[in-house]
Amino acid sequence: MLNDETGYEELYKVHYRRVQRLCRLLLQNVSEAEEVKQEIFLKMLRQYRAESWPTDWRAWLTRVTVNACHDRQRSTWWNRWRLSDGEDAATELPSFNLTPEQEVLGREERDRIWRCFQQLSPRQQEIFILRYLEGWSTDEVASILGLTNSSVKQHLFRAVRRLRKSLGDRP
Amino acid sequence: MNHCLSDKTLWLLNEGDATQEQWRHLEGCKVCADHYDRMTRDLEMITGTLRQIPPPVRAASIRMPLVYRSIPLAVAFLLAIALLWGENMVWRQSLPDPSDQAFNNELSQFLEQVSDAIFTGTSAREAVATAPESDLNSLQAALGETCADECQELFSRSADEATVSQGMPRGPEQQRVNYRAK
Repeated sequence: MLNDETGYEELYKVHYRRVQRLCRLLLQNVSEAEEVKQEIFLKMLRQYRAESWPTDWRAWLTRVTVNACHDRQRSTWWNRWRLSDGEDAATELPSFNLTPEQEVLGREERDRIWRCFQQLSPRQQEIFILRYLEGWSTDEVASILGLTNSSVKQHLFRAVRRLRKSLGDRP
Repeated sequence: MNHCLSDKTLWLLNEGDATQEQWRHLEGCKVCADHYDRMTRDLEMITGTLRQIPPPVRAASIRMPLVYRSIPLAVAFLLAIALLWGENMVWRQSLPDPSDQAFNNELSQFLEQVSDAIFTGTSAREAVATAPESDLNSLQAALGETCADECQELFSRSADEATVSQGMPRGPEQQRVNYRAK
């Protein structure tokens, strides 16, 4: 049993930050992301104790995370309505080695990217996240989301085009 | 291939889904190569920004549209109006009618007079003697009209008869009848 628990802790350490980032990106709300993250790791613990282990914990966790975030988005229309302002803004990481002017310009650019990303459809968002931030191939993304490969590519290209437009004309 | 590659083709090249011919064009065309480089730089910039944790979320941009956000407020407002209206209607229905209230007042006055007449120390004769007038007044007040003289006469006569039947001093003929009956 002790070995089981240490095994679980190892898994938790390996996947903790990835699941956290995925939840925050998909839900875009820190407190909701934390709640969903807890649910996901609780589910993982049950799965672990039941010894019905998946062949790939990373893929299993990604699938479970995407589904849990879907469920949360469907059930929390009221929570989203009453969302408070700027709860994440204070924790933005500062960037060094930049002049104040570059810093301001960079921040504006980042804000534009974030705003554009938030305006993407939920499907485009999750496909973009899984492909470019999680590093899954388009075939794997299609398998995780239960879509065809061509559909994933279509969504992905549209998302990339819109995000690039948000950057405007750059040298 | 003479035409420059489209954005989608350049993106497919980046994804590894391109033909040899498209690769050859990219290597030979400076314009397409510049586009491709720019696209890869853009993608790096975008993914680099989105990798920052936690994202600098602006709550206003992820809120639901104003129409949806105002629905609960509108429903609450309508419910409040309906509640106030309903309460007002119930309150109005529970208020007594002014004419009923006047009648009740007069009736209670009449009953007070009756009880005074019965239970105060006055003798029965005094009570009966005062009763017709007070009864008449009460009746007039209750009906809201003045009785005609005939009505007044009728009322006083009936009061006299009532006095006789309550054992007041009787005439000699009546005393005689009573004696025979004994």
